[in-house]
Amino acid sequence: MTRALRGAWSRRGALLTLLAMTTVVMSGAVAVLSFAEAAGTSAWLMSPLLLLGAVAIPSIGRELATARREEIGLARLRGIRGLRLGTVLLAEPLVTIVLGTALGFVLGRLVARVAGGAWLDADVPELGSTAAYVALGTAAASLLIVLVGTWATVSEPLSVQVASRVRPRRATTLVLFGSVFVLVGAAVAAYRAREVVDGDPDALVLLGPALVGLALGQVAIWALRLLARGATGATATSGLARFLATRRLSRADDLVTPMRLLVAAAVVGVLALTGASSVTDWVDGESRIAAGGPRSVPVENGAVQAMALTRDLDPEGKHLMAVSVVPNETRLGERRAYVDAARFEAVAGAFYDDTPAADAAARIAELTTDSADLTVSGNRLSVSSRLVEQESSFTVGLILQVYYVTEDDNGASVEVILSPRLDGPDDRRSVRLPGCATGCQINGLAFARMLGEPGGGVVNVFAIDDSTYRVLLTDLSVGDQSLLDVAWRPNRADIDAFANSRFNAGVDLQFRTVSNRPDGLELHPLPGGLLNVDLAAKTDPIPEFASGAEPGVPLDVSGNDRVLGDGTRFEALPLLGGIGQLTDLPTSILGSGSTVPDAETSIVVADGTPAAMLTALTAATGTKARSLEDVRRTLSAAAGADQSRAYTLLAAFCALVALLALAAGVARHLRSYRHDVASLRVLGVGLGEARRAGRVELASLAVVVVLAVTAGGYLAVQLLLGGLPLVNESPAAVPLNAAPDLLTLAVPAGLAALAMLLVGGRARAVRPSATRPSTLREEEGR
Amino acid sequence: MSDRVERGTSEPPSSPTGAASDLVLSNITFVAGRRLLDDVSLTFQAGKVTALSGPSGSGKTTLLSIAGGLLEPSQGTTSYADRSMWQGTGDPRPDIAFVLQVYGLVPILSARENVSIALRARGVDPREADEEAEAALGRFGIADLGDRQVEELSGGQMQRVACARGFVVGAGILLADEPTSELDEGNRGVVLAELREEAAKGSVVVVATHDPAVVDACDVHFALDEGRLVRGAQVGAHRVQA
Repeated sequence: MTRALRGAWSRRGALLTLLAMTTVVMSGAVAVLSFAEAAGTSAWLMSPLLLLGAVAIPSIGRELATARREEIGLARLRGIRGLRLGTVLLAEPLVTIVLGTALGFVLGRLVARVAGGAWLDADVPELGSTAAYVALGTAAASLLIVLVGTWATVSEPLSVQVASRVRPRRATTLVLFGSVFVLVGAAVAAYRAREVVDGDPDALVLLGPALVGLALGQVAIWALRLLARGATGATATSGLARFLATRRLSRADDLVTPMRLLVAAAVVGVLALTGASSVTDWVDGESRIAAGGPRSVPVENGAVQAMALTRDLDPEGKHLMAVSVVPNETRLGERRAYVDAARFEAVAGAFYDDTPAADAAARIAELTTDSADLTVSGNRLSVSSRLVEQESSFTVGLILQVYYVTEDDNGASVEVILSPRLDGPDDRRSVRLPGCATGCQINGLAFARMLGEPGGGVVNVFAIDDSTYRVLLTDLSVGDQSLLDVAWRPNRADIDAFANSRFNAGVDLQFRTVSNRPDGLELHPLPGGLLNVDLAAKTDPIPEFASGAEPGVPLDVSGNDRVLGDGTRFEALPLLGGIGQLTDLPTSILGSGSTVPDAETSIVVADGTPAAMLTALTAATGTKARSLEDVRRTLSAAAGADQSRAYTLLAAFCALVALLALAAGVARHLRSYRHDVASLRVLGVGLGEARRAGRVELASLAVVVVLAVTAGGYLAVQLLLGGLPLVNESPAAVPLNAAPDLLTLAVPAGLAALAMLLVGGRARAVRPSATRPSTLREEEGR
Repeated sequence: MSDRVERGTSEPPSSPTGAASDLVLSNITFVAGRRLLDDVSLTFQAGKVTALSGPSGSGKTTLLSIAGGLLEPSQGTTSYADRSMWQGTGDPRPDIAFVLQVYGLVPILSARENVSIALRARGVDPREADEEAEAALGRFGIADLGDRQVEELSGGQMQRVACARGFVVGAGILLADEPTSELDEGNRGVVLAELREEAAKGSVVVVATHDPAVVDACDVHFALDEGRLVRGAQVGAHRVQA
């Protein structure tokens, strides 16, 4: 037992590295798994970490086996083979891996809780059977990888195992296969990433970042080796430092081999950063687009109330703006929004700057028209009329109906019976207008003859009187707002319906039914039945902005057909995003009915709005103001934007694996490097020259790392990011722009180069005493 | 100092009387945990091949390291051409060449580069250094191995590369620690001939060895045991004072 412990102690460097690596991989896997579950994304997001671990662990296995080479040889001489030998060799790694797995599990949960607390609203759920399988699988795979790493040493000839001098081995077929597998895997992952449309991508796509990183790292190593060999001739005459650096770059392993993992981790980092940055920008843009302004107050009673409130509370139009959105994510052609365009600049201001909808926002003023505003408030409708012409006494009066949308968004009408006279004062009437005290929208009129026996009494309602009966409305108003300042137009369909009825054959309709006169509105009823009168503006084309590939269906707030102009197209629109039609609310609301139930109507509140105004607004609507942050949080949760944070977590653990591998590589070869420097010093090469060589070597490696990470990161983002789960975009959302940018490429590349410089610098910063030539007399033969 | 000392290709430094300088060790004691050398005084003569023998652990390698300026003696002095061998850093003087027992080859370099770099470190033009290295490897019968990585060589081949590297600089002092331990008889003869040739140029040549045949081939023989000089002799005609 004591001998076994002494043996393990002598191999503590490799065992501690294995322990640390297992702990990091396991804790990373558990942390990412937990976080991914809470963020609602694929549990296999952590697979790149497992792959990097799988690449890092064999070298530790080889180191362990190399440290026991003589022991293996002696055991074989004593006849210990097969399972017994395997048991002897795997006991230490097994204990180490089990310990690392347990430690990693606990640490991973801790990290997940901390990350969940910082990044998620929801608690990180308890891990289920998946985590247990991952833990067991990781431990088993680690042991298997160590076994494979050990196998090459175990299978060496006895003469080699008991030899005093260790000879380097050429790359095994397995290693070459691994390199080819990585390259092919990266290509297949890139191909499959393009195939992903919906749902979770497959495991190979999720492995893609690590595969591309490893492939680029491998290519970088090959390129570096080739370049260094090619540069041997040039550096042979350019000073010893460059010559030695070139030689080391072409042949030494301590810093070059771990570079592959460093590049891979940094590529995962590029992907994570690009993803996180893109998602942050996307969420910010989409939130702004959805919010409409810094704050908004939902209005449950439709667009009319929203319009009325803004005019009532903010008559100057500086702080409040009514908007209404019909999201229609299932019928994208009918997706539309209405904004009080005249108030947009004052209320929203620069709110949309730096969002995809900035271009459209800058031109919102183009949506405004000079159409009248028929949002009125008052309790009574006043009507004055006089008779202009009457041929017969069969028509005794005029039935006038006024249609409107009430303050609580219901369609309503009031009816007035007019008995105008040819002479004398105007006939004045006043009727109650229910549901209009705080504001309603007049959207139409209708009128018909009042038929009756001369002297009174209503006759059969199906009776027809085609005699002339012209009435002039000299006043039609609510409160002090006249409804006669706008142009009215007879409903063509009603006239056609009357004319085409076989019951009305031969009835002369050669007269104007509705005339907009300077002194009022002249009405000439049909011989029979009701004639609707629409706002003339209702059939005018309304300016619109549009986005999306397909033309939308022109509809008003109430879902009725509307005529829209040829819309200017934009990449994205305020309130709508990538698909929809945007028009001016006051223009669109003219003549429309109740707001459709699907509409989300609100009042956007500008920054700097007086608190009293906001208080009055919320009191009137009975709802709470919603901040941009509220919208962002809701959108982020709905879109699963926290998925990108799982990548950040993953990238951090990948970086740890790479740093550990780099540090382990350096530590493994430190003695050898010191030996080399001591050998050079014996020959008369000064320590300064050796240090200069180290600096040239490190600078070259840093440059290669930067180039490889930049190229790998660019490729990974271009080829893979589209296929990885980052956000669940709604169909109408502006697509996530996951293009690589300079910053997200430069930061991981810079950090990787810095890690190389720091860790490598530590390896190359040899003390004079550690490399003094006399140490060679203490060395064993190499 | 002559050109030879600078880059190791001409004559060794000489005394004011014109004779080549000897390497003088006076009262050398070296303590590292225990006393490895105890009051050793001797002179390695220029122009002679000196054998240094003794059982393992007797202090041969330590004495060579002190003689070459790699170690500072706990007591005593070492001098060559009126200058101390210890320079204060553990780096050898440029007029010293070593053939180390552990070879001290640099694995990132090929066999030829291991030889030529010793010349380049002394200011020889790289192309000229490569040519001389090639020639030196040829003298030891391994010219065809010049492009091999040292880790691809056998022990004997490595030892010959180490010898070629030690000899190629033509240093005033050549200290060889077990230079023939892994060589067959034929190659041992080649090495001994090269040692003799170096001495003939006026260099101080010291060989630490267990091999009686090597001792017999040397001009002078010193023996160490447990850090003490137990024998000082001129093999053949002349006796030398220990």
